[in-house]
Amino acid sequence: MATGLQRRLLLLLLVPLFLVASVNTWFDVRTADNTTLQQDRQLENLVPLLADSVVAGGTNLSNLPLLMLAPVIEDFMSTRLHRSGYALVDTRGEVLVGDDWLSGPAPTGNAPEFSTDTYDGHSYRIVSQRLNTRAGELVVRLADGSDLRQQWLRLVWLRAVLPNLMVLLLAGFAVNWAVQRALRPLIELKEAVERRSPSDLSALDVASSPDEVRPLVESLNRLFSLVNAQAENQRRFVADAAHQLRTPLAALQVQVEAWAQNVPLAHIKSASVAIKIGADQILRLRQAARRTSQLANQLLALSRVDARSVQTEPFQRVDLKHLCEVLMESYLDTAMHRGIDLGLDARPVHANGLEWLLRELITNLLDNALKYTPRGGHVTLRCGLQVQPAGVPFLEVEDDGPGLPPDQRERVLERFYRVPGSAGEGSGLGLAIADEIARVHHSRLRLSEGNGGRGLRVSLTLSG
Amino acid sequence: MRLLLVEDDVMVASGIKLGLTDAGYAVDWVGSAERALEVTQAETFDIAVVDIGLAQMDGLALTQALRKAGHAMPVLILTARDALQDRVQGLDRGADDYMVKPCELPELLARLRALLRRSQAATSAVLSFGPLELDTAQHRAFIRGVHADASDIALELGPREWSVMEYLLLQAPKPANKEKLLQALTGWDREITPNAVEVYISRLRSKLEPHGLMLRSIRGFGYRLELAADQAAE
Repeated sequence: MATGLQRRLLLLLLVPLFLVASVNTWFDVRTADNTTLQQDRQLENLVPLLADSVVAGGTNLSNLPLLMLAPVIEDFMSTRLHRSGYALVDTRGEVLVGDDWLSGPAPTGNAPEFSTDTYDGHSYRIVSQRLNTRAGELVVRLADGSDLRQQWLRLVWLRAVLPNLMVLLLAGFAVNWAVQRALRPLIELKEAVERRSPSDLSALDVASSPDEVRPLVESLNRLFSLVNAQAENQRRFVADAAHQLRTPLAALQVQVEAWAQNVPLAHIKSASVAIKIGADQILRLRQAARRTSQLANQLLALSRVDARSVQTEPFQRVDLKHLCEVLMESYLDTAMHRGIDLGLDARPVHANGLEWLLRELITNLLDNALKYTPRGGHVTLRCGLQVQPAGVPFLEVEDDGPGLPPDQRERVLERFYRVPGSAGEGSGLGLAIADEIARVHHSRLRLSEGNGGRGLRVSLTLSG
Repeated sequence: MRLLLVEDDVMVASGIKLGLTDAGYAVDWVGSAERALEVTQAETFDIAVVDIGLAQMDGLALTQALRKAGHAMPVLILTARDALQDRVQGLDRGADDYMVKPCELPELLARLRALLRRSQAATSAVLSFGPLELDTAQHRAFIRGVHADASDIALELGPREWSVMEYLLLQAPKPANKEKLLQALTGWDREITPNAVEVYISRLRSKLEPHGLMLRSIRGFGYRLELAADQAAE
């Protein structure tokens, strides 16, 4: 992550810098070109003056033109020292007066012609023009060896390109250093997180991180504490679950161990020695087995409600009335055996939810109500639309059993919590599961007194 | 009654077999779906109990294969968890009922009885529940004699009473939904009201109770035909 960020920053800073430097250099080079133009113009201006310096004479070798250099030309020559030259050339290209190396074919037209030539290891800018002088038609040539253009180019390199390159290089180093330095907290954070073992989820040091990174560190810490809490919950849950499972399993084991004790005897003394099992032992054994089964089922149900996949499962339209009818029916026998009048008060209503979870929820509510309501009591399963606020679907199980004191109502929703002194073989998970399912449906269980201040009413609202 | 049990867990299978044998079923136990398909080719069964989680071919596929092979016997599926998906799939693929493992034996027996009664109703004209028999072909209801030599006692039922009785008997031992009972009755009598149903129920009650049968009212739901002896045993 850090290297990517670093590369991006460097690229974003250096590319514009390079562009600026390039533009700058280009402008400087353009100035050099302008200088050449200036040199040409100067030469062009001097050519007529040189022609005017011809005061008499002819235009061939036998009759050479007579030259008296104008002061301006003299000046020009003297300032250039040896790096200059001039010649009067006839139309065939023969040098009549001046430097011999300036011979060459005459220009065809009357316009001045510019060329660059090398003589004696030096570069010269040469202008030649056909002009009428006092001696007649001659080609006038003037050479400037100061070669301003090259000088200028050198100057441009020295003064513009090189400094630009230097600045660019220095800027590159500076930017690279700055970027690395600026990103160091991030890179250090990355390394600190990477170095951690999966079990170490303690908070990162917020104070030592720069302001910009602090929100990131804080959200990381929040995540850590969340994961920590969840892991802690999980650990505690597994411990509680194991503890709860141990009780009925121990009961099962003790019973079976006692009978197994007699098995070797039965073998020795032939089959006639039957293992004696009392009726009450069998019933106790069955009860222990049923409790273990139910607990395992509830643990499984809880883990399924806890699973993250539940949060993303799409809700369906659930026919609550149908669901209540089916579930009430499946609990009729249980209710009858316990001498409890189980009834239904179901109005046609649909809700958005997960049917398999709502089924589990109602099952747990009915199970709970039937467990704690004494013989002769009433349990009613209800569904319908609420009156206040109107139009909200609800589910409800009401009994006329012993009820719950208000201070216990929150607590019974905790996992494995059992009301002190309560009878029955509950595991303390039923209402916790129901509440967890209610949460998945963005609701909570509401516990209150039943009708007439008796018993317990557990209800929840759903979205329609 | 011959019952085919398909279950690959030996502990569970032996437990179920013991319970069902004690309840009077002739239980044939096989450990795999493949074996189940073999034995059903040679023999006929009245009902099958199939575990959904079998090693190779699973219980749902077996049910489908059985139906494809033309077997009409009721199939009860056992699932490990109350998974809605299993239930829907199971019923889609031709299973008649499903139960969550580990199941309590009395409930398993009740479900099997209900399935058998339903499959009988489809093939025979006589519906029965305890001592009560309804001959739907001849529209005759009677109480079978308690002793071998005792003669049957005929029950006099009016046409609407007959319809209510037939509906309740078809549902038993499950409760009959009052609304559905009403719907079933309005098919031929549009003027029937909920109150009228109650009148028929109370008349039926007085006719059945002397013979150890009772009609239990289920608050907010309907009625259920029960044997009074069951209650006494509790």
